[in-house]
Amino acid sequence: MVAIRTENLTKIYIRKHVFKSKKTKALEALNLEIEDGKVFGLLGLNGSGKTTLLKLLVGLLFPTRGSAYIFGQKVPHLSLLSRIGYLPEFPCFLMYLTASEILHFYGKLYGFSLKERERRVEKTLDLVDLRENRNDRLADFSKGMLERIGMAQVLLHDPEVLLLDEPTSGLDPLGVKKMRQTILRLKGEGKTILLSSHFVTEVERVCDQAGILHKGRLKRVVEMKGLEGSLEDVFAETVSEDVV
Amino acid sequence: MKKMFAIGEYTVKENIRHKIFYTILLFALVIIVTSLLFSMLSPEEETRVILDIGLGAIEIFAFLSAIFAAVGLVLGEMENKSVSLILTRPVRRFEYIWGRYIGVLSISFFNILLMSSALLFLLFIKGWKFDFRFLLSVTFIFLKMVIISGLAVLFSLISTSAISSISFTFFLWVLGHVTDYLKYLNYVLLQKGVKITIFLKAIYYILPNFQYLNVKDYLGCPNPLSGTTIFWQVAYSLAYASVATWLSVLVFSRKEF
Repeated sequence: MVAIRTENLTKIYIRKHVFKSKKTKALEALNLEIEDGKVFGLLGLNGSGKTTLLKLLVGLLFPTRGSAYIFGQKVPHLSLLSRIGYLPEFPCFLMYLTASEILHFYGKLYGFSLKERERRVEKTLDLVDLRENRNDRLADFSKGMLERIGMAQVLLHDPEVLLLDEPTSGLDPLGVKKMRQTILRLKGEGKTILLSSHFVTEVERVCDQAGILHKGRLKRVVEMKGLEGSLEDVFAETVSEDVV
Repeated sequence: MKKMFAIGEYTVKENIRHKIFYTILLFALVIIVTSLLFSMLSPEEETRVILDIGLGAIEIFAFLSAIFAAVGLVLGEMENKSVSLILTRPVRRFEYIWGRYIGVLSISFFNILLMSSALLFLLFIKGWKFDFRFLLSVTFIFLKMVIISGLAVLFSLISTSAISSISFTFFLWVLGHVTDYLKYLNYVLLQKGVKITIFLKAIYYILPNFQYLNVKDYLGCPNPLSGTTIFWQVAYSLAYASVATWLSVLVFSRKEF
Protein backbone atom coordinates (compact mmCIF):
# COMPACT_ATOMS: atom_id res chain seq x y z
CA MET A 1 0.00 0.00 0.00
CA VAL A 2 1.27 3.45 -0.90
CA ALA A 3 1.43 5.75 2.13
CA ILE A 4 2.70 8.94 0.49
CA ARG A 5 2.30 9.86 -3.15
CA THR A 6 2.97 13.07 -5.03
CA GLU A 7 1.90 13.90 -8.57
CA ASN A 8 3.76 16.65 -10.42
CA LEU A 9 4.07 18.48 -7.14
CA THR A 10 5.45 21.93 -7.82
CA LYS A 11 6.09 24.83 -5.51
CA ILE A 12 7.14 28.26 -6.66
CA TYR A 13 7.76 30.90 -4.04
CA ILE A 14 6.82 34.41 -5.05
CA ARG A 15 8.47 37.15 -3.04
CA LYS A 16 6.71 40.42 -3.65
CA HIS A 17 8.63 43.63 -3.38
CA VAL A 18 7.32 47.12 -3.99
CA PHE A 19 7.72 47.25 -7.76
CA LYS A 20 8.75 43.71 -8.64
CA SER A 21 8.25 40.14 -7.63
CA LYS A 22 10.81 37.36 -7.56
CA LYS A 23 9.93 33.77 -8.34
CA THR A 24 11.91 30.87 -6.95
CA LYS A 25 11.18 27.32 -7.99
CA ALA A 26 11.60 25.22 -4.85
CA LEU A 27 10.08 21.99 -6.13
CA GLU A 28 9.46 20.99 -9.71
CA ALA A 29 7.04 18.30 -10.91
CA LEU A 30 7.87 15.91 -8.14
CA ASN A 31 6.55 12.37 -8.56
CA LEU A 32 7.22 10.20 -5.58
CA GLU A 33 5.74 7.09 -3.99
CA ILE A 34 6.57 5.81 -0.55
CA GLU A 35 5.28 2.43 0.56
CA ASP A 36 3.58 1.99 3.90
CA GLY A 37 6.00 0.96 6.66
CA LYS A 38 9.11 2.17 4.82
CA VAL A 39 11.68 4.71 5.94
CA PHE A 40 12.48 7.11 3.13
CA GLY A 41 15.36 9.56 3.37
CA LEU A 42 15.43 12.79 1.42
CA LEU A 43 18.92 13.92 0.61
CA GLY A 44 19.86 17.19 -0.93
CA LEU A 45 21.94 20.29 -0.66
CA ASN A 46 20.62 23.43 1.00
CA GLY A 47 17.69 24.81 -0.95
CA SER A 48 17.04 21.57 -2.81
CA GLY A 49 13.39 21.49 -1.71
CA LYS A 50 13.45 18.98 1.17
CA THR A 51 11.75 21.20 3.75
CA THR A 52 9.32 22.51 1.12
CA LEU A 53 8.14 18.97 0.38
CA LEU A 54 7.56 18.19 4.05
CA LYS A 55 5.69 21.46 4.58
CA LEU A 56 3.51 20.78 1.56
CA LEU A 57 2.59 17.39 2.99
CA VAL A 58 1.38 18.91 6.27
CA GLY A 59 -0.41 21.86 4.69
CA LEU A 60 1.90 24.60 5.93
CA LEU A 61 2.56 25.47 2.28
CA PHE A 62 0.15 25.26 -0.64
CA PRO A 63 1.29 23.68 -3.93
CA THR A 64 1.57 25.87 -7.02
CA ARG A 65 0.75 22.86 -9.21
CA GLY A 66 0.21 19.17 -8.73
CA SER A 67 -0.95 17.38 -5.64
CA ALA A 68 0.08 15.12 -2.80
CA TYR A 69 -1.76 12.21 -1.21
CA ILE A 70 -1.35 10.45 2.09
CA PHE A 71 -3.12 7.10 2.34
CA GLY A 72 -4.97 8.07 -0.84
CA GLN A 73 -6.38 11.24 0.69
CA LYS A 74 -5.44 14.51 -0.94
CA VAL A 75 -3.55 16.88 1.34
CA PRO A 76 -4.18 19.17 3.08
CA HIS A 77 -6.99 17.37 4.85
CA LEU A 78 -7.89 17.87 8.49
CA SER A 79 -8.54 14.20 9.25
CA LEU A 80 -5.08 13.28 7.93
CA LEU A 81 -3.35 15.49 10.45
CA SER A 82 -4.28 13.08 13.27
CA ARG A 83 -2.33 10.39 11.41
CA ILE A 84 0.78 12.49 10.78
CA GLY A 85 3.55 13.51 13.14
CA TYR A 86 5.67 16.44 11.97
CA LEU A 87 9.02 17.54 13.33
CA PRO A 88 10.27 20.84 11.86
CA GLU A 89 13.97 21.48 11.45
CA PHE A 90 13.96 24.05 14.25
CA PRO A 91 11.00 23.22 16.45
CA CYS A 92 9.66 26.32 18.22
CA PHE A 93 7.18 26.19 21.04
CA LEU A 94 5.17 28.42 23.31
CA MET A 95 8.23 28.93 25.47
CA TYR A 96 6.47 30.04 28.65
CA LEU A 97 4.83 26.66 29.04
CA THR A 98 6.35 23.64 30.76
CA ALA A 99 7.14 20.39 28.94
CA SER A 100 4.04 18.75 30.37
CA GLU A 101 1.80 21.74 29.59
CA ILE A 102 2.84 21.95 25.94
CA LEU A 103 2.14 18.26 25.41
CA HIS A 104 -1.21 18.57 27.20
CA PHE A 105 -2.01 21.50 24.93
CA TYR A 106 -1.24 19.50 21.79
CA GLY A 107 -3.19 16.58 23.26
CA LYS A 108 -6.23 18.83 23.62
CA LEU A 109 -5.96 19.70 19.94
CA TYR A 110 -6.35 16.00 19.15
CA GLY A 111 -9.42 15.90 21.37
CA PHE A 112 -7.93 13.52 23.97
CA SER A 113 -9.64 13.36 27.36
CA LEU A 114 -7.69 14.45 30.45
CA LYS A 115 -7.06 10.85 31.48
CA GLU A 116 -5.89 9.92 28.01
CA ARG A 117 -3.68 13.00 27.84
CA GLU A 118 -2.06 12.22 31.16
CA ARG A 119 -1.29 8.68 30.05
CA ARG A 120 0.12 9.78 26.71
CA VAL A 121 2.13 12.71 28.10
CA GLU A 122 3.78 10.51 30.74
CA LYS A 123 4.55 7.80 28.20
CA THR A 124 5.96 10.23 25.67
CA LEU A 125 8.09 12.08 28.22
CA ASP A 126 9.50 8.72 29.25
CA LEU A 127 10.32 7.87 25.67
CA VAL A 128 12.39 11.03 25.22
CA ASP A 129 13.93 10.94 28.71
CA LEU A 130 12.30 14.16 29.87
CA ARG A 131 10.15 12.88 32.72
CA GLU A 132 12.37 14.65 35.27
CA ASN A 133 11.93 17.93 33.43
CA ARG A 134 8.17 17.69 32.98
CA ASN A 135 7.55 20.80 35.10
CA ASP A 136 10.41 22.90 33.70
CA ARG A 137 9.64 25.71 31.34
CA LEU A 138 10.70 25.23 27.75
CA ALA A 139 12.45 28.61 27.90
CA ASP A 140 14.97 26.96 30.26
CA PHE A 141 15.58 23.96 28.00
CA SER A 142 18.83 23.36 26.12
CA LYS A 143 18.78 22.91 22.34
CA GLY A 144 19.06 19.16 22.68
CA MET A 145 16.16 19.06 25.15
CA LEU A 146 14.04 21.13 22.77
CA GLU A 147 14.80 18.65 20.00
CA ARG A 148 13.64 15.87 22.32
CA ILE A 149 10.43 17.67 23.22
CA GLY A 150 10.05 18.15 19.47
CA MET A 151 10.20 14.38 19.06
CA ALA A 152 7.80 13.97 21.98
CA GLN A 153 5.16 16.08 20.25
CA VAL A 154 5.59 13.91 17.14
CA LEU A 155 4.99 10.71 19.09
CA LEU A 156 2.20 11.99 21.37
CA HIS A 157 -0.69 10.85 19.18
CA ASP A 158 1.01 7.69 17.89
CA PRO A 159 0.93 8.73 14.21
CA GLU A 160 1.16 6.31 11.30
CA VAL A 161 3.27 8.66 9.16
CA LEU A 162 6.20 10.63 10.52
CA LEU A 163 7.67 13.58 8.66
CA LEU A 164 10.98 14.51 10.18
CA ASP A 165 12.89 17.53 8.93
CA GLU A 166 16.57 17.18 9.76
CA PRO A 167 15.89 15.21 12.95
CA THR A 168 19.56 15.01 13.91
CA SER A 169 20.60 18.58 13.22
CA GLY A 170 21.94 20.33 16.29
CA LEU A 171 22.16 17.15 18.34
CA ASP A 172 25.31 15.98 20.09
CA PRO A 173 26.69 12.50 19.18
CA LEU A 174 24.71 10.84 21.97
CA GLY A 175 21.55 12.66 20.87
CA VAL A 176 22.14 11.51 17.29
CA LYS A 177 22.51 7.93 18.48
CA LYS A 178 19.28 8.12 20.50
CA MET A 179 17.42 9.67 17.59
CA ARG A 180 18.64 6.88 15.33
CA GLN A 181 17.46 4.28 17.86
CA THR A 182 14.06 5.99 18.07
CA ILE A 183 13.69 5.98 14.28
CA LEU A 184 14.70 2.33 14.08
CA ARG A 185 12.23 1.45 16.86
CA LEU A 186 9.46 3.28 15.00
CA LYS A 187 10.45 1.50 11.81
CA GLY A 188 10.11 -1.78 13.72
CA GLU A 189 6.59 -0.73 14.72
CA GLY A 190 5.72 -0.41 11.04
CA LYS A 191 5.53 3.38 10.83
CA THR A 192 6.08 5.15 7.55
CA ILE A 193 8.84 7.70 7.94
CA LEU A 194 9.92 10.42 5.55
CA LEU A 195 12.96 12.22 6.82
CA SER A 196 15.19 14.85 5.33
CA SER A 197 18.83 15.05 6.14
CA HIS A 198 22.18 16.43 5.17
CA PHE A 199 23.89 13.47 6.76
CA VAL A 200 24.25 10.78 4.12
CA THR A 201 25.59 8.21 6.58
CA GLU A 202 22.57 8.63 8.86
CA VAL A 203 20.22 8.11 5.94
CA GLU A 204 22.20 5.06 4.91
CA ARG A 205 21.89 3.59 8.40
CA VAL A 206 18.16 3.97 8.97
CA CYS A 207 16.41 4.24 5.60
CA ASP A 208 15.03 1.64 3.21
CA GLN A 209 15.13 4.08 0.33
CA ALA A 210 16.70 7.45 -0.33
CA GLY A 211 15.64 10.15 -2.75
CA ILE A 212 18.15 12.64 -4.01
CA LEU A 213 16.66 16.06 -4.55
CA HIS A 214 18.59 18.66 -6.44
CA LYS A 215 17.36 22.12 -7.35
CA GLY A 216 13.78 21.05 -6.70
CA ARG A 217 13.91 17.93 -8.86
CA LEU A 218 13.98 14.34 -7.72
CA LYS A 219 17.12 13.10 -9.44
CA ARG A 220 17.29 9.55 -8.23
CA VAL A 221 15.67 7.07 -5.85
CA VAL A 222 18.10 4.61 -4.34
CA GLU A 223 17.20 1.28 -2.72
CA MET A 224 19.46 0.65 0.26
CA LYS A 225 19.17 -3.09 -0.08
CA GLY A 226 21.76 -4.26 -2.53
CA LEU A 227 23.31 -0.85 -2.95
CA GLU A 228 26.73 -1.21 -4.43
CA GLY A 229 29.20 1.30 -3.11
CA SER A 230 28.36 3.99 -0.64
CA LEU A 231 25.33 6.26 -0.72
CA GLU A 232 27.70 9.19 -0.29
CA ASP A 233 29.31 8.40 -3.66
CA VAL A 234 25.92 8.03 -5.32
CA PHE A 235 24.82 11.32 -3.84
CA ALA A 236 27.99 13.16 -4.88
CA GLU A 237 27.79 11.71 -8.35
CA THR A 238 24.11 12.64 -8.77
CA VAL A 239 24.52 16.17 -7.54
CA SER A 240 27.73 16.84 -9.46
CA GLU A 241 26.19 15.55 -12.72
CA ASP A 242 24.04 18.60 -12.64
CA VAL A 243 26.86 20.95 -11.69
CA VAL A 244 29.01 19.74 -14.60
CA MET B 1 -15.23 24.57 19.83
CA LYS B 2 -13.07 22.66 22.35
CA LYS B 3 -9.96 23.31 20.28
CA MET B 4 -10.77 27.00 20.11
CA PHE B 5 -11.07 27.17 23.88
CA ALA B 6 -7.86 25.17 24.29
CA ILE B 7 -6.02 27.76 22.18
CA GLY B 8 -7.71 30.55 24.14
CA GLU B 9 -6.74 28.97 27.44
CA TYR B 10 -3.11 28.68 26.44
CA THR B 11 -3.10 32.26 25.17
CA VAL B 12 -4.11 33.36 28.67
CA LYS B 13 -1.58 31.05 30.29
CA GLU B 14 1.22 32.36 28.09
CA ASN B 15 0.24 35.97 28.63
CA ILE B 16 0.09 35.82 32.43
CA ARG B 17 3.62 34.45 32.48
CA HIS B 18 5.00 37.50 30.71
CA LYS B 19 6.51 40.14 32.99
CA ILE B 20 4.97 42.91 30.90
CA PHE B 21 1.50 41.72 31.90
CA TYR B 22 2.25 42.42 35.57
CA THR B 23 4.02 45.67 34.74
CA ILE B 24 0.95 46.98 32.94
CA LEU B 25 -1.33 45.87 35.75
CA LEU B 26 0.93 47.37 38.41
CA PHE B 27 1.08 50.73 36.60
CA ALA B 28 -2.70 50.75 36.28
CA LEU B 29 -3.20 50.07 39.96
CA VAL B 30 -0.64 52.75 40.91
CA ILE B 31 -2.47 55.32 38.79
CA ILE B 32 -5.84 54.32 40.20
CA VAL B 33 -4.49 54.70 43.74
CA THR B 34 -2.83 58.05 42.98
CA SER B 35 -6.23 59.33 41.86
CA LEU B 36 -6.78 59.71 45.64
CA LEU B 37 -4.11 62.42 45.66
CA PHE B 38 -5.66 64.27 42.73
CA SER B 39 -9.06 64.10 44.37
CA MET B 40 -7.68 66.25 47.19
CA LEU B 41 -7.43 69.13 44.71
CA SER B 42 -11.19 69.18 44.45
CA PRO B 43 -12.63 68.14 47.83
CA GLU B 44 -16.25 68.82 46.84
CA GLU B 45 -16.05 66.41 43.89
CA GLU B 46 -13.60 63.92 45.32
CA THR B 47 -15.32 60.77 44.06
CA ARG B 48 -15.91 62.31 40.63
CA VAL B 49 -12.16 62.93 40.21
CA ILE B 50 -11.34 59.40 41.38
CA LEU B 51 -13.93 58.01 38.98
CA ASP B 52 -12.66 60.01 35.99
CA ILE B 53 -9.00 59.20 36.56
CA GLY B 54 -9.76 55.60 37.49
CA LEU B 55 -11.92 54.82 34.47
CA GLY B 56 -9.44 56.61 32.19
CA ALA B 57 -6.61 54.49 33.60
CA ILE B 58 -8.63 51.29 33.21
CA GLU B 59 -9.28 52.09 29.56
CA ILE B 60 -5.69 53.02 28.71
CA PHE B 61 -4.12 50.05 30.45
CA ALA B 62 -6.72 47.61 29.16
CA PHE B 63 -5.89 48.92 25.69
CA LEU B 64 -2.13 48.47 26.24
CA SER B 65 -2.64 45.00 27.60
CA ALA B 66 -4.94 43.99 24.71
CA ILE B 67 -2.48 45.35 22.14
CA PHE B 68 0.39 43.50 23.77
CA ALA B 69 -1.54 40.24 23.96
CA ALA B 70 -2.93 40.43 20.42
CA VAL B 71 0.17 41.67 18.62
CA GLY B 72 2.82 40.16 20.89
CA LEU B 73 1.39 36.67 21.00
CA VAL B 74 -0.11 36.29 17.52
CA LEU B 75 2.70 37.97 15.60
CA GLY B 76 5.31 36.49 17.94
CA GLU B 77 4.01 33.01 17.28
CA MET B 78 4.17 33.53 13.53
CA GLU B 79 7.64 35.04 13.67
CA ASN B 80 9.11 32.23 15.75
CA LYS B 81 7.14 29.66 13.71
CA SER B 82 5.66 27.95 16.76
CA VAL B 83 2.33 28.35 14.96
CA SER B 84 3.41 25.58 12.59
CA LEU B 85 3.27 23.05 15.43
CA ILE B 86 -0.34 24.03 16.08
CA LEU B 87 -1.46 24.05 12.46
CA THR B 88 -0.05 20.58 11.84
CA ARG B 89 -2.62 19.23 14.32
CA PRO B 90 -6.26 18.74 13.33
CA VAL B 91 -7.03 22.42 13.88
CA ARG B 92 -8.83 24.55 11.34
CA ARG B 93 -7.29 27.92 10.69
CA PHE B 94 -10.42 29.76 11.79
CA GLU B 95 -10.29 27.84 15.08
CA TYR B 96 -6.76 29.11 15.64
CA ILE B 97 -7.68 32.75 15.01
CA TRP B 98 -10.88 32.67 17.04
CA GLY B 99 -9.08 30.78 19.79
CA ARG B 100 -6.37 33.41 19.98
CA TYR B 101 -9.00 36.14 19.91
CA ILE B 102 -11.01 34.52 22.73
CA GLY B 103 -7.77 34.29 24.72
CA VAL B 104 -6.97 37.97 24.19
CA LEU B 105 -10.51 38.95 25.22
CA SER B 106 -10.30 36.80 28.34
CA ILE B 107 -7.10 38.62 29.30
CA SER B 108 -8.83 41.99 28.76
CA PHE B 109 -11.83 40.86 30.77
CA PHE B 110 -9.63 39.72 33.65
CA ASN B 111 -7.62 42.97 33.60
CA ILE B 112 -10.69 45.17 33.54
CA LEU B 113 -12.30 43.15 36.32
CA LEU B 114 -9.23 43.49 38.52
CA MET B 115 -8.76 47.21 37.88
CA SER B 116 -12.47 47.97 38.33
CA SER B 117 -12.51 46.11 41.64
CA ALA B 118 -9.58 48.21 42.85
CA LEU B 119 -11.33 51.39 41.74
CA LEU B 120 -14.62 50.37 43.38
CA PHE B 121 -12.76 49.63 46.59
CA LEU B 122 -11.26 53.15 46.62
CA LEU B 123 -14.61 54.73 45.80
CA PHE B 124 -16.34 52.89 48.63
CA ILE B 125 -13.62 54.00 51.06
CA LYS B 126 -14.44 57.57 50.02
CA GLY B 127 -18.13 56.96 50.73
CA TRP B 128 -19.30 56.79 47.11
CA LYS B 129 -22.85 55.57 46.57
CA PHE B 130 -22.92 52.78 44.04
CA ASP B 131 -24.23 53.80 40.64
CA PHE B 132 -25.27 51.02 38.25
CA ARG B 133 -23.88 53.07 35.37
CA PHE B 134 -20.39 52.39 36.70
CA LEU B 135 -20.83 48.78 35.57
CA LEU B 136 -22.14 50.03 32.25
CA SER B 137 -19.04 52.22 31.79
CA VAL B 138 -16.72 49.35 32.56
CA THR B 139 -18.68 47.05 30.23
CA PHE B 140 -18.31 49.57 27.43
CA ILE B 141 -14.57 49.81 28.04
CA PHE B 142 -14.54 46.05 27.53
CA LEU B 143 -16.57 46.45 24.32
CA LYS B 144 -13.93 48.84 23.03
CA MET B 145 -11.37 46.12 23.75
CA VAL B 146 -13.55 43.64 21.85
CA ILE B 147 -13.15 45.85 18.76
CA ILE B 148 -9.54 46.90 19.16
CA SER B 149 -8.38 43.34 19.91
CA GLY B 150 -10.01 42.14 16.69
CA LEU B 151 -8.22 44.89 14.78
CA ALA B 152 -4.92 44.23 16.53
CA VAL B 153 -5.10 40.54 15.54
CA LEU B 154 -5.87 41.58 11.96
CA PHE B 155 -2.95 44.02 11.83
CA SER B 156 -0.58 41.49 13.31
CA LEU B 157 -1.45 39.23 10.38
CA ILE B 158 -1.08 41.78 7.60
CA SER B 159 1.92 43.74 8.81
CA THR B 160 5.45 42.49 8.93
CA SER B 161 6.63 43.75 12.30
CA ALA B 162 5.32 44.29 15.80
CA ILE B 163 6.11 48.02 15.55
CA SER B 164 3.94 48.49 12.47
CA SER B 165 1.07 46.40 13.92
CA ILE B 166 1.14 48.38 17.16
CA SER B 167 1.39 51.67 15.25
CA PHE B 168 -1.58 50.79 13.00
CA THR B 169 -3.68 49.70 15.95
CA PHE B 170 -2.76 52.78 17.97
CA PHE B 171 -3.50 54.99 14.98
CA LEU B 172 -6.96 53.44 14.61
CA TRP B 173 -7.56 53.75 18.35
CA VAL B 174 -6.93 57.50 18.16
CA LEU B 175 -8.86 57.94 14.90
CA GLY B 176 -11.74 55.93 16.31
CA HIS B 177 -12.15 58.50 19.05
CA VAL B 178 -12.38 61.45 16.65
CA THR B 179 -14.48 60.04 13.80
CA ASP B 180 -17.29 62.48 14.61
CA TYR B 181 -14.98 65.27 13.47
CA LEU B 182 -15.18 63.83 9.96
CA LYS B 183 -18.77 65.03 9.78
CA TYR B 184 -17.64 68.50 10.76
CA LEU B 185 -14.77 68.33 8.27
CA ASN B 186 -17.24 67.41 5.54
CA TYR B 187 -19.39 70.39 6.48
CA VAL B 188 -16.41 72.77 6.39
CA LEU B 189 -15.19 71.39 3.05
CA LEU B 190 -18.66 71.71 1.52
CA GLN B 191 -18.71 75.35 2.59
CA LYS B 192 -15.49 75.81 0.62
CA GLY B 193 -16.90 73.98 -2.37
CA VAL B 194 -14.88 70.78 -1.93
CA LYS B 195 -17.11 67.76 -2.43
CA ILE B 196 -15.55 64.62 -1.02
CA THR B 197 -18.58 63.59 0.99
CA ILE B 198 -18.64 59.99 -0.28
CA PHE B 199 -14.97 59.53 0.55
CA LEU B 200 -15.37 60.97 4.04
CA LYS B 201 -18.52 58.95 4.64
CA ALA B 202 -16.71 55.77 3.62
CA ILE B 203 -13.91 56.52 6.06
CA TYR B 204 -16.46 57.36 8.75
CA TYR B 205 -18.17 53.99 8.41
CA ILE B 206 -14.99 51.97 8.01
CA LEU B 207 -13.24 53.38 11.06
CA PRO B 208 -14.35 52.07 14.44
CA ASN B 209 -16.44 54.64 16.27
CA PHE B 210 -15.11 54.51 19.80
CA GLN B 211 -16.75 57.80 20.69
CA TYR B 212 -20.08 56.01 20.25
CA LEU B 213 -19.00 53.65 23.05
CA ASN B 214 -17.70 56.31 25.46
CA VAL B 215 -20.37 55.68 28.07
CA LYS B 216 -18.07 56.72 30.89
CA ASP B 217 -18.31 60.34 29.70
CA TYR B 218 -22.00 60.33 30.63
CA LEU B 219 -21.58 58.78 34.06
CA GLY B 220 -22.54 61.95 35.92
CA CYS B 221 -25.48 62.83 33.64
CA PRO B 222 -29.08 61.95 34.50
CA ASN B 223 -30.47 59.07 32.38
CA PRO B 224 -27.83 59.26 29.66
CA LEU B 225 -28.63 56.09 27.74
CA SER B 226 -31.76 54.26 26.71
CA GLY B 227 -32.04 50.49 26.45
CA THR B 228 -32.32 50.75 22.67
CA THR B 229 -29.11 52.79 22.43
CA ILE B 230 -27.29 50.26 24.57
CA PHE B 231 -28.58 47.44 22.40
CA TRP B 232 -27.29 49.09 19.22
CA GLN B 233 -23.96 49.95 20.84
CA VAL B 234 -23.46 46.32 21.85
CA ALA B 235 -24.62 45.09 18.43
CA TYR B 236 -22.25 47.55 16.72
CA SER B 237 -19.27 46.37 18.77
CA LEU B 238 -19.94 42.69 18.22
CA ALA B 239 -20.59 43.13 14.51
CA TYR B 240 -17.45 45.23 14.02
CA ALA B 241 -15.28 42.77 15.94
CA SER B 242 -16.79 39.81 14.04
CA VAL B 243 -16.01 41.39 10.69
CA ALA B 244 -12.45 42.18 11.79
CA THR B 245 -11.91 38.64 13.09
CA TRP B 246 -13.36 36.97 9.99
CA LEU B 247 -11.10 39.20 7.88
CA SER B 248 -8.23 37.88 10.01
CA VAL B 249 -9.40 34.34 9.27
CA LEU B 250 -9.44 35.16 5.55
CA VAL B 251 -5.91 36.55 5.64
CA PHE B 252 -4.65 33.73 7.85
CA SER B 253 -6.14 30.97 5.72
CA ARG B 254 -3.95 32.10 2.82
CA LYS B 255 -0.80 32.37 4.85
CA GLU B 256 2.04 29.93 4.38
CA PHE B 257 4.52 29.00 7.09
